[in-house]
Amino acid sequence: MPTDSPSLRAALLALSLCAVAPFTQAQDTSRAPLLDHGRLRRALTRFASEHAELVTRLELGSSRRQLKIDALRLAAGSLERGRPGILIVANINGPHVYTSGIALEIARDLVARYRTDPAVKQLLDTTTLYVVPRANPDGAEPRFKDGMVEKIGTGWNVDNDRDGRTGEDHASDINADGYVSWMRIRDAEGEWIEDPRDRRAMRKADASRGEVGVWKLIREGRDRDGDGKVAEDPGRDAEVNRNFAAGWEEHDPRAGRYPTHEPETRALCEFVMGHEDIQVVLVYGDQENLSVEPASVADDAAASDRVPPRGLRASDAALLKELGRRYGKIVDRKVTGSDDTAGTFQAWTYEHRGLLTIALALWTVPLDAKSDDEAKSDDEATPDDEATPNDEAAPDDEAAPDDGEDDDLPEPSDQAKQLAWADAQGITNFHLGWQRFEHPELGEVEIGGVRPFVTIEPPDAVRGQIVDEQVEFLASLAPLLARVQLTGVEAEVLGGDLVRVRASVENPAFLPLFTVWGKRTRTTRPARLQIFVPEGSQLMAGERQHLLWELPGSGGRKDFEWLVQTDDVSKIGIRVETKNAGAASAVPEVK
Amino acid sequence: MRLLLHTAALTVLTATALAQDESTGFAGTAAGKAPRVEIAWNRLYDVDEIYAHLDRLVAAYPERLRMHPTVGHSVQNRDLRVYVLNNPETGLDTEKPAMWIDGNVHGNEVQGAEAVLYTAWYLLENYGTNERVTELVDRAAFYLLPMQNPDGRANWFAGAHTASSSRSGYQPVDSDRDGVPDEDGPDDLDGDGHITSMRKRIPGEGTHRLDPDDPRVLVRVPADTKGARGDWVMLGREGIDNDGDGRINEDGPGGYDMNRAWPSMWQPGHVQFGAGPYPLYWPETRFIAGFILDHPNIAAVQSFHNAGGMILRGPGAASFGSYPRADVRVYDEIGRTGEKMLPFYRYMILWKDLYTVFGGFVTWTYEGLGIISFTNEMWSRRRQFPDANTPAPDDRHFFDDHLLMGDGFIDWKPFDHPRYGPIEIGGFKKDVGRVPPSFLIEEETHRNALFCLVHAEAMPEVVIENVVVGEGSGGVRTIDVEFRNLRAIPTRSARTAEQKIGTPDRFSIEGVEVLAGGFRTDRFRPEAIELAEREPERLLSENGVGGRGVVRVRWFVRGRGEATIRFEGEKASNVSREVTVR
Ligand SMILES: [Zn+2]
Repeated sequence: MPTDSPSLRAALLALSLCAVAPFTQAQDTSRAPLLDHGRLRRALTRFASEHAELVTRLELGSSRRQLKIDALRLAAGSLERGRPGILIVANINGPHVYTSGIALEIARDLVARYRTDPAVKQLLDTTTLYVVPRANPDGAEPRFKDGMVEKIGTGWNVDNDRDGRTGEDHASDINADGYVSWMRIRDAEGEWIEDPRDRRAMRKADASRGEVGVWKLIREGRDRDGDGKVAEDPGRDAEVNRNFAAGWEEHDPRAGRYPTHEPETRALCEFVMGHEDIQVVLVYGDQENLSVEPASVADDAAASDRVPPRGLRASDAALLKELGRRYGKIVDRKVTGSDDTAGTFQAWTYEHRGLLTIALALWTVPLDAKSDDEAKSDDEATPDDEATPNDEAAPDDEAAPDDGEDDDLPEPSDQAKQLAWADAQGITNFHLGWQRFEHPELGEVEIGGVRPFVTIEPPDAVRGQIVDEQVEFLASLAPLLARVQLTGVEAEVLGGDLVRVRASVENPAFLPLFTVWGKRTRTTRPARLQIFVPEGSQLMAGERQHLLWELPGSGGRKDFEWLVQTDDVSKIGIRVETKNAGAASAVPEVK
Repeated sequence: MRLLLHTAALTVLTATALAQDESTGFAGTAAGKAPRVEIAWNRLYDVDEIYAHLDRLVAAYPERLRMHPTVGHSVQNRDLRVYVLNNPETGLDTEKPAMWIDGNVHGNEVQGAEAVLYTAWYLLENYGTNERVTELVDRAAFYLLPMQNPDGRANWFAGAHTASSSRSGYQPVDSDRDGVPDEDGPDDLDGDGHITSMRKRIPGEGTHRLDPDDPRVLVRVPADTKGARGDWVMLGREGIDNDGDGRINEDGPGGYDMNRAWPSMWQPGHVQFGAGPYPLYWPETRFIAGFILDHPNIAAVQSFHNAGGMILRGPGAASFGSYPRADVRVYDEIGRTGEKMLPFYRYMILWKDLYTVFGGFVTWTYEGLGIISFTNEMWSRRRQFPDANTPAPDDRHFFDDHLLMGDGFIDWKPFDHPRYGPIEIGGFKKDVGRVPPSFLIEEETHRNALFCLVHAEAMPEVVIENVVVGEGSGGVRTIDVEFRNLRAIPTRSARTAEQKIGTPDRFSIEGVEVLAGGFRTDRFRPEAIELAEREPERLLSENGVGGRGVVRVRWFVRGRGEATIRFEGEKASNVSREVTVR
């Protein structure tokens, strides 16, 4: 066979890839499919043009590699001043490609249900939804490439291994199985062992139990720079979602050169700053603050060297807790989120822009998925599976204590738990197995491990479910958003033409006008209350204009009064305006 | 301003005349010779005039000064021009250690631009005649940005201002958050072209009284003085409540601080006033950061401000901790030299001796980029009366009356204010207090420019010395090399090394087979070597060559022939030396 023909080889490779990877787009017919950049753009364009009355396509800017960052605006009716906005940002973490499909499908679902579902109708009638399905297009690309790799960095290169060359030794798919996975090498200095609870899984040896590591576990790749280390200077180190100013970690290669040096980061900042109507931000990614109660500090936590401590404030934590309670009624799924917020978008929108920010992990591999009985049936299901040829990989492991007493074994590692879940789900190729490979620099190694993206991407059925849940949750948010009202707008004639005017600004909704950070940073615009007196009349007492920097939710109220000398009370006007919580006007009612 | 431009045009002619007739006058020591380009150093120049003078220098010295092709733009679309001073005959600017010098990030702190201009002028005029200038220009390059904030400068020159207004850039900012930006700044109520102060007489109910010896001066009446009440109140800067919100002058042009916008230890506006929504938000700062990051050869930074007579360095905040000791030694050496060169200037640490600054420019160039960086706060009012025995050095009126013939003060005049009724308006003009009077401008710029040259001379210079090829046996020979830094600043500052900034220095040999090699750790014990794990022919060092330090390398080689020994680093010129192994 003329395998030296490159095009033929590529075609063969593509064929074999389709056969292995269940989630590649060729087969992905689920409700929230995985779409590469081109397909996603086309889908967005088509969707927007088919529903022009509700959907507008926007652009935030371009990625480092010149891919456009698209957004959708969903809103029915006119965009009157102060109409609150909700911003949804998905796929800001490069490998979380599937969240793009979720976001797009949510948008489609909202539009489809606009006429039939009153809650959805209220959402689209009273708020403006901004959906950024793929904030990090460069980060999504490796998902669709041969040599599929979970790589987060997309940006500025540093010389990680300090050899005077940057990005010269990156991970790669050296066994040409379509994935950049893991290599394990038998090595007395290795720290890893096979998990005795599931020998496909690798975990660190626990010296306190007398375990001795026998494997080195490293990224799949070559030693391209011949320094004895594999894939230690991968290139494109900076991560979009570590490049924001809040908690930015200077000199960490992942953090980038300076905050907003990554074009995606800056584009998102500019978008948020350019849309003062945004009241709430939702980020679909690797963090969670609704189904997990996040840590918080007191609202007035003391500053050190003028700098207040970072993170969630107690009053805002209480808001998230209540939203979390409601969310829990819709979403019954445990997730684990990262609590590393350094330099993230969600930290910036909350801590620096004062916006209530909801971080949703949507799905992570359930780690407590099974009972003991299920575990037994799993054991039967596991071996001899064609897709996980791990018989090579379960050899006489001299390191792990193998006394046959299950009770004496430690807790399964997270990876073993993930495998148990996959087995219970009947997912057959969750693990690639461990394949012997003659490495050009390292000699004999084994390549394999958990297949890239399977721990990130929920199965098809779950993805559809996530869409339904998020649509329901979003619709439930509409009545909770802060909104200003005028109440008790009255005029009392004191005698002659002197009138005392009273008015209250009230927020009947659950959410306050300002988060704790919103008040502190003054980035959220104050509500502006104005009194207009007709010509010939005169304001005798009180201010023409008040700026409100505080208005709690659930009926929070502020009272105002004025003295006006006028012969026509009906021409007095009171108006309250906000950028993101509505507006109201009233004429005082004569008592 | 028109008049100034006219003067500039005239001096072009004068300079040409002078160049033709070198016998005109005697130039004095500092200038060295009759300059090819005459610039009057007793005045301050507007944005266009500063650039025009630099362009004249480019025209007169095209071989050593050019405008960098990458030009930034301010919010109001003025140029940010970086002038590159370099002798191409000795190499590209990017291949030499370079000093970055800028001024005027605070729009009102104008004389930094003159100091930058003077530095260029002094180096060009004295190249070839002064030995040290020639040597410096041959081995180092200069990146000169006269104004970080040309909008601030242009508005300060053209408009009615105080000594401290027009500090910000000119992107409109809604400082009072009422939905309208920049709608309530100070107003030149009496139309005299100046923003001064307002005072009102309220007999028996004021906080101040007039100085009996000088009624121009208001003296605060101490609060605890029994029964005594002042007759006057101070009402702040000249202005009215333009937007009708009850407050006066609360939302003037801009309202941010471009020297709080830099990435290292940056903090948002509620912690650090004026920082902006994220670091390097304003186009001026982003352009400058881009230029500096594109030039890793920058090994020294000076950013001129005014006023107070200070040679400032970081840290900007106590929570940073201390700078590494090796770098502090370098800072101290240059800073203390500066104290001696600049009368009444003190070498100070920002947060400790002045105030806390998050996100400052020179703290970024040091903490973020590892460059030894200073900010000089130009002009100390003590220079008005340099003799310590002269009474009342703070008596601004005495100086103004006797040495400026009263030119700096606008006497109090009555005015009918829409809110306060009858008041008086008066005070010092904008160019009193923070900038030197005309007759001291030249001295101020000269001393500061020359301090820059001291700083620039300290930039690293590596030479390869004492190359010794050992006798060896069995075909293996040793080659010992000393890489010596002749200057005070290390090739990689301790901060650079500690944070792994940029590329490590490389010490290499080529042309012979290298079996082993490494850095020697004890000059008296040749066997004490940190052997390289691999690539012994190309040794890397995070620490580089210390200030006036030596790095000793020993290589074990086989074979014979011509070998080339090289040093390569980001902040010192690469050097190489041939050695014959027989
Ligand atoms: Zn300044």
